[in-house]
Amino acid sequence: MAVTLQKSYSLNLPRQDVWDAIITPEVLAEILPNCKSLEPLGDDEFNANIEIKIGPIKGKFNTKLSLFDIHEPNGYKFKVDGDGVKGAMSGEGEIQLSDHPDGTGFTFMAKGNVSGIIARVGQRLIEASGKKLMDQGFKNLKQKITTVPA
Amino acid sequence: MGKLVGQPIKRVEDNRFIKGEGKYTDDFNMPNQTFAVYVRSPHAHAKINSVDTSAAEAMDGVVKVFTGQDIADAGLAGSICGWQVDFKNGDTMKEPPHPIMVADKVRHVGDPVAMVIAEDKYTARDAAELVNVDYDVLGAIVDPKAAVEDGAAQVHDDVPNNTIYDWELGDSAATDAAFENAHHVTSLSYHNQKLVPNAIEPRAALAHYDANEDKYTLYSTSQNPHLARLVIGAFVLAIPEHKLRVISPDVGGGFGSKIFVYNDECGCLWASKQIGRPVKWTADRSEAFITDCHGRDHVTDAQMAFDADGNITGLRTKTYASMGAYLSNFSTCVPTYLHGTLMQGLYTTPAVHVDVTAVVTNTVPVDAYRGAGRPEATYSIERLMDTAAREMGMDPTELRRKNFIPAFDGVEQPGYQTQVALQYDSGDYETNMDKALQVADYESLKATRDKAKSEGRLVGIGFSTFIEACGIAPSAVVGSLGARVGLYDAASIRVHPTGKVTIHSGAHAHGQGHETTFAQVVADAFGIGMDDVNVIHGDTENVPFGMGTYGSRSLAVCGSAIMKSVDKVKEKGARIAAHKLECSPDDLEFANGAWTVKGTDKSVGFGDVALTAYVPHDYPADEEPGLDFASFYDPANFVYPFGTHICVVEVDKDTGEVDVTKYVAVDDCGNVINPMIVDGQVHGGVAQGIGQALYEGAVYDDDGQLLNGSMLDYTMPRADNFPMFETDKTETPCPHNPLGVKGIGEAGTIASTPAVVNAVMDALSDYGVKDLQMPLTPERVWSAMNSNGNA
Repeated sequence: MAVTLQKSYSLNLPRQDVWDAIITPEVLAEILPNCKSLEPLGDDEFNANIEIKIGPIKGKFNTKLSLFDIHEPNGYKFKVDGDGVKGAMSGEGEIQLSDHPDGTGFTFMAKGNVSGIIARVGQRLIEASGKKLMDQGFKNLKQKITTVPA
Repeated sequence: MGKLVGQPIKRVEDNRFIKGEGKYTDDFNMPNQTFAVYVRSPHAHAKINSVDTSAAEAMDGVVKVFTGQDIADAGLAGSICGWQVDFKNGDTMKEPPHPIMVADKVRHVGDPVAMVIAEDKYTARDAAELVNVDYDVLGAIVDPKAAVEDGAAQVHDDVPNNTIYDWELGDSAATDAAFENAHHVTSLSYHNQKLVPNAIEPRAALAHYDANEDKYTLYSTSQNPHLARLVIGAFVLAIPEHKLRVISPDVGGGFGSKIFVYNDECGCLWASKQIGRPVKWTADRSEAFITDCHGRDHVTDAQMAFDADGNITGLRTKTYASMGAYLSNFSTCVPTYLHGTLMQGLYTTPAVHVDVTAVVTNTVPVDAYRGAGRPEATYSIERLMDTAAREMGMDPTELRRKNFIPAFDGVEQPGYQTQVALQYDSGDYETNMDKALQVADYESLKATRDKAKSEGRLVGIGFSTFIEACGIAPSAVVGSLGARVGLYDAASIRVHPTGKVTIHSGAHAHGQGHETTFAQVVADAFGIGMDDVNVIHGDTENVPFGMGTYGSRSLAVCGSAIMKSVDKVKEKGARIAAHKLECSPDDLEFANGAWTVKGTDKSVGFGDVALTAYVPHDYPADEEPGLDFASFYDPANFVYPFGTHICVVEVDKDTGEVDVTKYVAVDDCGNVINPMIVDGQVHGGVAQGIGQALYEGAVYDDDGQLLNGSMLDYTMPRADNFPMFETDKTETPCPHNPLGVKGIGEAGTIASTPAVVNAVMDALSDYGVKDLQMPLTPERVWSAMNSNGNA
C-alpha cells in the first residue's frame, strides 16, 4: 500500500550546521529512528538495520539506503528498500533545507510502499506511526546538533 | 410428523461445545511431533531470486526447512481443480499449476515459499523469520474486469489475458430481442465484493507417516474427509487410498472454506514422511485471512427488460469473476453452474442470458463461500426487481406477484423448466410471500415508513424473494457439466444386538447439528428414543465414502442415504419378525417400534428383532445374521428451497449509518425435521448476508496488498448490529427425496444481502441515489446522500 509522509520543521541553527549533520554517516545513524546499525556500502549507499513498531507489529528491516541528487547545503534525495519477515518497504524521498526566520527550515517528504503484515494489520496506523517517526528523527537531529542550548 | 421429527429438540452436540470440551484438530497431539510454520510472500506478485534457509537451519531446535524447490524436485503437482468449464469456442479451460510451495514466483500475498519445521512452534516461528527470500517485485492485478485487458499484469505465463474461461448460458438472441422490444429496462452495475470466510477455528493439520505400516494419517479441519482423502491420495501426493486415513474431528465452522483440499495440509503430510516424525501446523488468524479461500468477487452488469404491464421479458448479465491467483477445487463452477443456472429466480422470465468470464488475479484464491454463486445471482435479480419497481412506480410486492411462477408440487404438476438448465422441483412462491407480508404486517410497515419520512427520518423496506438450488447433486448431471467427482452421499446404519443404533454418516458436521437431526429421523423411523441413536462422522476409516457437507446437502442427500439404510433394516427386520410371528412379511406393519400382524395384537419389538439377528438360534433359513446396512444415495435432482425476506432499515441522516430495525425471514425448505436448528441456520445465514451488505469486504490496494487482513480492520457483523430476527415458514415438500426435505444452510446468506441493500435504497429514495456499492458503510451512504445536489 502507498504511504505518503511530509512534514516541515524549523531549527534555530545555521543551515550549514544542519547540513553537516544530515550528510555525516555517524550522525545519520543516530538520527534515524530505531536504527540499530548503519554500514556504509560506498558511494552514498548504506545498509541500515532498522526496527520498526507499528501498532501491534514489531519487526526488523534490513534496509538499503542510498542518497542522490546531493546539493550542499540545500538537501538531497534518498531511496530506501527494506525487507523483513513482517513485510517489505520501499520508497523515495527528499530532505530540503531552506532559509527560515528561525534559522533553517527542514522539510521531510517521502513516498513509499509497504507490503505484508504491516500493510494488512498496520495500515490504519501507518501514517500516524510515520509522523511519530519523523518527529522522533527530527528530535534526534535537534539534540545531536544543538551543542549550546537555544 | 413423528414424535421427534418436527420437534425443536436441543442439539445434543452442544453439550460438549458449550462447555468448551469439543475436540478440534489442534487439540490432538502425537508422540515426537514437530511443528511447522510456513514462510509466506509479503508481495502480491514477485519473482523469487533466491531463498536462503541457512540461518534458519542453523538455529537450535530447527528440524528441517523445505522450500518450493524441494517440492518441485519431488515432482509434486499440488492441489487440483475439480470442475472443468471450457471456453465458449470449445477450448479447454486454462488450468495453471498450484504447487504446494512456489519456487519461481509468488502470485498473491500469502503464497508459501518455505516451510520451517522445529521442535516447538515458537522456535519454528522465530526460525521462519530468518529465512531470507530475495524477490523482484512485479506489477500486480487485482480488479477482475481489468485483468483481461491487454497490458494487465500476467498472473500465470500460460494464461493469456488472465482468462481461465469464458462461458454463457441461455438464449442470447432471444434475450437481445426482448431488450430491443422492451417498454422499460432496468440496469445495475456492481461489485459483489470479495469476502473473507472467517471460521472461528483456523485451519489446522496434524500429519503422520507410519513407516512400519507405510501408512499416512491426517487430522485436519476438513468439511469432507473422504473428498480430502480422494484428492490428496489420487492427485496431490499419490498415496494409495488404503494407505491414507483422514480424520476431521470437531470443526469450528467452515462456511465452504474448509471444503477444499489446501496445499498447506498436503505439505505437512509430505513433510512428515521426509522427516519421519509427525508434523503439526495450525494457522493463525492473520494467516487465515491470506490463505483461506475467499468468496464472491464478481464484477457484474445486469439488466432486466419489462413490457408495459410490468411483466419481465428478459434478463441478461455479464460478470467478471475472479478466481484469485490459483484455481481452488470448485472455484470454476461457482460463477457458472452455481450462479448462471439460478438467474431465472422465481419468475417466468421468458428469455435469460448469462455471460461469465473467469479470471486470475493476484489475490487470495476464491471458491465457494456460504451460498456460492447463488448469493451473487440472487443479488442481481432481487436488486433489479426492487429497483425496477421503484422506476416503474409499482409496489415491489406487486411486481413480484405479477411475475411469479405459479404454484406446482412436482407430483400432480410437473417441475418447472427454467431458461437456464435447471428444473425446479416444487414451489409455491406467492403463498410464501403472502405469509411473509402477513408476518411483517406490510401495510402497517408502509405506514410507519411513510410517517417517518414525513417527519424527516429515513426508513426503508427491502424485499428479497429468492430461490436456490442445493442438495448437490445428481452425479450424471454435474458430470455432464464438467464436475470431476460424483455428488452422491453415503450412510450406514448399524443396529446393535440390544436394539441401539449407530449411524455412520458420510456427511461431516461442523455446525449443522447432524448428531441431533439424523438421530431424530432414525429414532422416529424405528420407534426408539434419541438416546438410543448415536451418530459417527468424520473418519475415513469408520464412515462410508460420502462426499461431505456443503451446498446445503446433508439432510437432502446424506439424510436420504440414511433413509435408504433405514428401509433396508426395516425390510430385513420384517422378514425376521415374520419368522418369529410365523406369518408372511406382507402381513406385517411397522409402528411404534414393533412389527404387528395386521388386524391382530400379535407383535414383536424392534429390540427383539435386533437381538434375534445377532443371536440367530431360531432364524429364517436363508437369512444372513446381523442388522447392518450401508447405502449410497445419488439425488434425482437438486432441491430448490425458496423464501421471502423483508428487511426494514433506518438510515441516520447525519452520519449515513444504517440500522437494521426489523428482519422477517419466511423460508420454505420443505419438511422441517428440527425447527430450532432451521432457525439457527437462518439466523447465522442472515447475519452473514447482512455482514456482506453493510460491513464486510476484503480491501486490496493496486499492489495487491490486503489492507484489512485482521479482526481490527475487517468488520465482522456482531449481535448488537441486529434486531431480533423474526422467522416463519411455509412447507412445500421436495417431491423426489424420502424425507421431502430441501436445504436451509445457505438460504439466509443468499436471501438477505439484496433485502438489506434494497431497504437502504428505499430509505434513500428521495435523494435520487440510484445505486450504492457494498458494503454500505456510513461514509458511502453519507457521501451518496450529500452528492446529487442534496447537501
